[in-house]
Parts: sequence; C-alpha cells; structure tokens
Amino acid sequence: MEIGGLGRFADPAVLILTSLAGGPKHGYALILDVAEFAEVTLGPGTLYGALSRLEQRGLIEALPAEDRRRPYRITTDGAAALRSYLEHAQSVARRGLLHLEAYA
Amino acid sequence: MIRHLVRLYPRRWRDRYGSELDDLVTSLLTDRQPRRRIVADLVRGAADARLQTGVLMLRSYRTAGWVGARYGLTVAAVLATVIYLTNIVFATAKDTDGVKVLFGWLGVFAILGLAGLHAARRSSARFAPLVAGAVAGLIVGAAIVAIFAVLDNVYVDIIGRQEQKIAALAAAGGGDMRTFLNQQLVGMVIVLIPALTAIGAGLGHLGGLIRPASTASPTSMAPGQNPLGLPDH
Repeated sequence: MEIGGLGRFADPAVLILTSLAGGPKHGYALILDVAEFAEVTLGPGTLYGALSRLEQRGLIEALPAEDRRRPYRITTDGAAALRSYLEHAQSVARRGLLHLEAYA
Repeated sequence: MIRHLVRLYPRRWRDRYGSELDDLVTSLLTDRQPRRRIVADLVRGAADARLQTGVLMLRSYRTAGWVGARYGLTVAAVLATVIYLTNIVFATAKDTDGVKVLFGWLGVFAILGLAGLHAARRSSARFAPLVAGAVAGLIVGAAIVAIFAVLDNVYVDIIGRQEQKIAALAAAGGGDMRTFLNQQLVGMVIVLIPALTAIGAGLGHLGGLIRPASTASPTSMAPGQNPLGLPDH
C-alpha cells in the first residue's frame, strides 16, 4: 500500500505516519507532535480528513477510546508505506543536494 | 458555535469521528488557536468529507449496477436458450407448459432477490440492493422482449402455428400474424420491462434485507471499519 492517491491529504498523511511511528497518539497529541518536529500546524479538519483516509487504507488503526479521545497507531502496512516513501524522499534529497553542491 | 461546525460533516462520518473531532476542537480552542483558521479548516474538511462520501456512494451504486447486470445477463442467456428450445426446436401447437412457465418466473424472481443479496454483501449503500435488483429486472425484461422479437420475426411460420396465437389473432379481428406478433411485442415493451424493473427493485431490496447484520448499521461501526460504511473492496 502506498501513500499516493490521498490528494491534498498526502503531506498531512506523511506527517501523521511519521508521528505515529514514534508511538500511538490521539488527535490533539498528533497536532502538537507534528507542530514540534515539522513546524506545521494541522487544522482539525485536515487532521481527521487524513486520519479517515489512512484508516480506510489500513495504514493506521484506532485503539480503544480513552474518554472522548481515541488514540491511533501505525500498522505494519503503514510502517512499510512510510519507510518506502521516506527512502524515496531521502534518495531524491540526496541527489538534489549533490546537484546543488556541483552546480549551484 | 465553532463546535457546531462538526455537524457539517456527513452523518456516517460524524458517527465515527464526530466525538473525537469535537473534543479536538475544544482542546484547540482552549489552547487559544486562531478561531478563524479552525473554522476555515473545519468547513474545508466537511466539504471534502461530503465529496468523498458522494464519490464512494457513486462507486457503490456502480458496483451494485454491475452485480445486477451480471445476474440479469445470466438469466437472459438461460431464458434465450429455454425459450428457443421450447418455442422453436421442440415447438408444439398446444400451450401445455403453463406450470413450467410459472416455475420459470418464480426462478427469475428468486434470482432478482439474489442480486439484491449479493449487492448488499458488496456494499452497504442504502439502496444498492434495490439498484442491483432493478438493473437485473430491466435486463431480463429487455432480454425477453428482444428474444421474442427475434423468434417471432425469424420463425414466424413456427410461432404462428401455436393455437393460442391463432386464437388471439382471430379475437383481434384477424390479419397478418407477423404484424400481430409485433404489436404484442410493443405491449411487452410498455408493460413487461417497467414491471420487471419495478419487481426487480422490490425483490432486490428484500434480498438485501437478508445481509449479515454486521454491516447494516453505521452507528455500530467499529474502529477500523470504513468510516463511510461503503466497503466496496
């Protein structure tokens, strides 16, 4: 399963998976964590738009609710999709930096 | 006021995520996040959820339509064979297969119900079984008309020997058998096709009621299930 096909939710999805790779979190904790490591503040509609798509695709799963907050955790498929995406991004970044060093 | 914006989301979506989203919005407001930004994001998210629901709904009905089409075409193929064999290959002057025809119709009706049951298992969209049954009924009705249109015109000499047809032609005031048979076909187009479509819709709907209860209610949806309740995979 790939992260592609999520439209405008692709970037938030990567941020969410990256955050959940560090452990299960509920919505508010996700927003705080993403804001800390990516300096991006996800809005509530964007967050749940991405969460619903990720859950639908089996990349994350919901854990039992704690009061009104429901934590989510990354699945094996989600971890594989994130790893594949990050390795590709890393390869592109490496090539881009090499080009910048050589020509810019 | 902002928390009421959660109501903009589709009902099934709210049933699954509404409580969590409401809690999150409360936390963000307590955290003094910009209200205007939260409002804009919620409105955009609700529009997106509604669009996604619409797209999945369309896919769901398309799936139901294909299920109905497969059942309808299968029945049409069987009917074409049976009607050809009984009316042409093993043609008799007397109409003695009334009981067989009755059981044939019962079989067709059962299959229309099965189309609905199958559609309900492929999709939990509310009217998917009805759509599948209607499509199957429409195809069966159109197929029957098409089969008789071909047989009545190609094998008019054989069909015209049936006592029932001869009597009906006489009762209608006589004339050309081919013209009479084609007039009857027009009547079939007007009555049979809409009737079978409506019967198919009804039986498909009834068939859909037999589906397992686990996919029936969006409010009983467990975490991990499709939030829109439209499992078409």
